[in-house]
Amino acid sequence: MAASDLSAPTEITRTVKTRRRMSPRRYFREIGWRHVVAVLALLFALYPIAWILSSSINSVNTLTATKFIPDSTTFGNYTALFGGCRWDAGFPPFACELHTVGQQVVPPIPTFLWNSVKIAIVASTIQLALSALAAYSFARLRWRGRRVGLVAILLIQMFPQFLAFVALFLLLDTMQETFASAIQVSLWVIAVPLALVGAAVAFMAHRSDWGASAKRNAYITAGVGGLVLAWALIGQFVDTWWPFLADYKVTLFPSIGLGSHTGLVLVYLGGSIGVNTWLLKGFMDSIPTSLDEAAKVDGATEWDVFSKIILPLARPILIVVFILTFVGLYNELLLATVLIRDVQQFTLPVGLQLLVENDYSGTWGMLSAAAVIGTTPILILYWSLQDRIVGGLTGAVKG
Amino acid sequence: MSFFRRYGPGWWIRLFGLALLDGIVVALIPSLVDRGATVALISIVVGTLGINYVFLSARAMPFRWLVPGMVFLVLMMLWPIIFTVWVALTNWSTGNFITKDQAIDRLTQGGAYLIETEEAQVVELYLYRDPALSTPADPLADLKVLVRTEAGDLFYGSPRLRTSATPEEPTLDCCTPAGADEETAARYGAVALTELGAVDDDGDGIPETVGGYAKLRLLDIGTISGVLDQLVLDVPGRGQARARTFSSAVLAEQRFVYDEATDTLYDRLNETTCAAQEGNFVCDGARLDPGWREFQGVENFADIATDERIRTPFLRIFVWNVIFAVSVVLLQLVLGLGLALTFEDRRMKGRGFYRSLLLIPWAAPGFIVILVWRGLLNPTYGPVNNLLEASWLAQLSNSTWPKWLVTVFLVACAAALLWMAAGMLRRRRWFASILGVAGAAVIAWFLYKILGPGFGLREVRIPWVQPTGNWFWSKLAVILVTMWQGFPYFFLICTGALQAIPTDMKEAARVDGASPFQVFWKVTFPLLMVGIAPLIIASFAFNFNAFVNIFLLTAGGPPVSGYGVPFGETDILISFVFDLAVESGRGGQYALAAAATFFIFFIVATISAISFRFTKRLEEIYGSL
Repeated sequence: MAASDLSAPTEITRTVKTRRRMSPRRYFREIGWRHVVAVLALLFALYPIAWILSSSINSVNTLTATKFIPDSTTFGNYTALFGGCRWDAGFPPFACELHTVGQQVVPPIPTFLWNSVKIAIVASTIQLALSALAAYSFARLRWRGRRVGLVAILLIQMFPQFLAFVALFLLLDTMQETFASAIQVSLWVIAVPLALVGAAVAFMAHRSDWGASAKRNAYITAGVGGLVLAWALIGQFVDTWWPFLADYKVTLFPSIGLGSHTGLVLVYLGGSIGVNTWLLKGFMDSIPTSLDEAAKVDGATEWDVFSKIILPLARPILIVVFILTFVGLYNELLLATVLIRDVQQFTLPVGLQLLVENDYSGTWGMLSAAAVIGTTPILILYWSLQDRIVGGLTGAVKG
Repeated sequence: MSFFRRYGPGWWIRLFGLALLDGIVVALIPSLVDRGATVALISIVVGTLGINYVFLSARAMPFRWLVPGMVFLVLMMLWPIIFTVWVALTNWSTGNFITKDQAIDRLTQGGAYLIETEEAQVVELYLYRDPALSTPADPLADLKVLVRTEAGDLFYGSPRLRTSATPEEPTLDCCTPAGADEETAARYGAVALTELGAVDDDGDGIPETVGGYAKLRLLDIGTISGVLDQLVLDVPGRGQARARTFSSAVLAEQRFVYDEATDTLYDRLNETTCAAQEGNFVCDGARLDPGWREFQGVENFADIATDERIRTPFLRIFVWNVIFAVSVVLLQLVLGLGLALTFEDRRMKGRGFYRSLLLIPWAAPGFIVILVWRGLLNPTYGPVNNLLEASWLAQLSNSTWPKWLVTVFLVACAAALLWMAAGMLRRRRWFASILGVAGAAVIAWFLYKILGPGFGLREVRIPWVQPTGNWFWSKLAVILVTMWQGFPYFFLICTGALQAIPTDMKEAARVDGASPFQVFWKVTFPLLMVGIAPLIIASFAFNFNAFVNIFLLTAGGPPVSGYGVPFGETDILISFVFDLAVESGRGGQYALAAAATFFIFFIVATISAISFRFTKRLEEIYGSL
C-alpha cells in the first residue's frame, strides 16, 4: 500500500524509541487511545461493507432471515446474477436476459455493468482528449480573450450538469426526431461519389512527388470526406430524384436521441469538460516552457510539442483526471434514469434498483453479490491511485 | 498540383473532419426546416460556419485546440442552462408538449374526437393480416381493414390509431365508393378488390384472402385486442370508420373544425365555439387535450411565489434542504476533523492501513452503498434495528428490573453528565460542555420513552425508511447515511491541511503557556479553516444536491398529501424537481420543474459567490499559507 511511507516512523522517533520504552499507561494515553478510536471508526465505516460481503455468500437470500455470520455459505448469489447470460457472437460476446431464480425475477445485472463501464470509458476517454486539447490552448497558446474564456468556463461549471436534466431530456427528445428523419441514405449514393472522388485524389497524388504516407493520407481522407459531403447532399433528394434507389436506403447513424447510449455519451461529454480543462491547464502551467521553446527551435510544430512533450509529462494528472471522470460517470444516476428507457440499455445505477423490491425478500443476497461486483473495481482503482488522489485533495488545501 | 503539395496529413485530416461535420449538418437542414426550428437552425448553421473558419484559417489556429471541447461544453452545459430558463417561462408539460399546429392537427384530423354522422351507421368490419408475420412488434404493421357499408360498398386499406400523433393521408387501397366525386375517384382509381388478389371462396362478398393477407378469425385477434377500439379507417366522403367491436364499425366525422381567421375551434357536437386560451382550446370551460406549448412569461414563478398549494411545499422542501446540507457538512467535518486529529500523531502505527480502509465509504459507488443502507435500515427486517434491539439500552428498558430502579439509575447518569458539563462550562471548555448537555438530553429522551405513555421502549423497531418510515427518523436516516458517505473526504482534506500548518506556530503557542486545547482552538483551527473553508462551502453545494442519497434511500418519502404538487418529507429541491418532471402522477410538469430548477441555479450561484468572497476574507485575516 502506497500510503505506508506516511506511517513509517521518522528518523527522530525511531531514535527516541530505541532509547526508552513508554510505560503502558503513558502509551495508552498518548497513542493507544488513537487505535481504539481508529477501530471504532472502522466499525462504523465498514459496517455495510461487512454486511454485503457476508450476505453475498449467505445461502439465505432474504433480508428477513439473514444473519451476519451465515449458517451456511454458497456462491449461488453470484451465479444467479449470471444465470440469464449466454455466450453470443458479437460485441460484447455475451447477452443477458431477465430470468427467474425460484420465484424471483432477476434483471440482467452483467449487461448493466457492461453498459456502465462502456459508457464511462468511452465518455471519459473522449472527454480527456478534448480537455487536454483545450487546456493546451489555454496554457501554451496566446490569444485574445483567454482569461475571459477561463473565467467563463469556471462560471458555467459551477452548475452541476444534472440540474438541467429537464432541458437535456427535451433536447435529446428533439434530436432523436430530427436525426431519425434526416440520416437516411442510399448505398448507391455512397458508392458512386466514393469511386469518383477516390479516383480524382488518387490521380493527383499519383502525379505528385509526396512521400508514401502523405499520399496514403490524401487518398483516405479526401476520398471519405468527399463521400460524406456528397452522401449528405444527394441523400436528401434521393426520394424525388431516383425513387428506384429508395429500396437501398439504410440508416447510417446510430440513433443518438432519447433512450440511446450515444445520446447519453454526448450529454456526458459536456458534463465536466470545464473542470478537467482547468485541472489540466493548471498542471501544464507547471511544465517549464523552456522545453517547448527548445523543441520549437529544433523545428517542432505545436502538435509535436503537445503530443511529444506536454502529454508524456502530464501523464500523472491525465490518469487522475481519467479515473475521477470515469468514477463520476460510473456513479451517475439522474441523467441515466431520465435519458435511458429500455431495460437492456440500463446502466448499473438505474438497473440495480430493479433488485430492490418487496423489502428485499428474495433479493438481498443477490443485491449484495451485485454490490460486491460493482464496488470492487472502483475500490481497486482508488487504492491503486490513493496517493495521487489524496495528494490532489490535499494539494488543494495546501494551496 | 502544387496547391495540394503545401498541405501535409494534418490538413487532410482537418478537411475530412470538416466534411463529416458539414455533411451531417447539411443532412439535418431539411429536417430542421420541416420542424420549424428556426433558432436551432440558425445557431447550428452559424456554429458550423464558425468551426469551418476556425479550422481553415491560419489566424484562428489557437481556437482549433479549443473548439472540439467547447462545442460540447456549450451544447451540453451552457445551452441546457439557458434552455431551462426558457422552459420555465412556458407551459411545457405532458399535456402541452407539442406545437400548436400539431395540436390542431390532432384535434381536427386525428381520431380522438369523432362524432357519429346524422345517418350514423353501423357497418361490417373485417380484419386481414399476413399470416407470415404472426407476431409483429407493432400490431398495426401488417394489418388491413375491410369495411362493408349498408349499401354494399367495400373499403379496404391500412388502418391507423385514433390517438396517433400525425394523421396521415387515407391509405385506402380500394375501392371507389358509389357516387364518389371525381377527385376521389381519380385518386383511388377503379381498382377492384379482385385486382388486389382477393379470393372469395364462399361467395358471401367478403374475400377470405386479399393478396397475401388472410381474414382474421376471432381466435387470431389476440395481438390487436388492445388497440381494437382505437382502429380507424378513413373512408373518402364518409368520414371515418371507427372499429366498435371485432366485426363492426361505425362511420364517424370529425367533431372539431379549425377556423384560422379567428383562431377558434368549432364544436359540431355542441354547436359552440372554443377559444384558444393559454395553450389549450377551451369549450364551455372544459380544456381540450392535447394542448400545445407556448410562452407564458413568469407565470410558473408567480405560482411558486403566490399559490399556497405550491408555495408551502416549496418552502418546506427548501428549509429541509438547507438543514440537511448544513447538518451533513457539519457532522462530516466534526467526524473527519476528529479522526484527522486522532491520526495526527506520527508515532501511531498502521495509519496507512486505517486510512485505506476509512476511504471505503467515500470511494465506494454511492448508488450501491445507499441501496445497501436502505436494506440495513429496513424498519421491519433491517440489521440495524436488530442490532439496536439486541443492544443493552433496549434490553435495559425491556428488562425485568423494576422501572423505578432503571429510572433512578438513568436520572443519576444524567445528573452526573450535567454536573460535568457545568464544570466544563466554568473552565470555558465549550465543546465538552455541549457534549455533556447533549448526552443528558439523550438520556432524558430515553427516559421519556420508558416512562412515557405506553410504558416501555416502543420504538425499538425504528421507522427509518419506507414502508413505515416517519418524518423524523427518515430525515435522521438520510443525514446519517450521507454523513457516513462523506466523512472520509473531510478526514483526508483535514489531514492534508493539518500537515500544512507549520509546527513552529503551535510550538510557539505551547511555549507561551497555552494548553493543548487552546493551541487547537486558537492556532490550529483558524489556520485549518483558511485552507478548508472553500472546500466546506463546495461540499455544502454538493450535498445541497445529493440526489442519489435521497432518491435511493427514501425516494423523498414518507409522502405528504394535501398539496398541489407531490412531495415527501425528505425531498430536497432536486429530487422534488425530478418528481415533478418524471414521476409526477400527472405526467411531466416540465415548465414547473424548470422554474424550480432555476431556484437551485440561483442558490448554487449564491453559494459559489459566497465561497469566492469568503476565501478572500479569510486570507485577508490570517494571510495566505
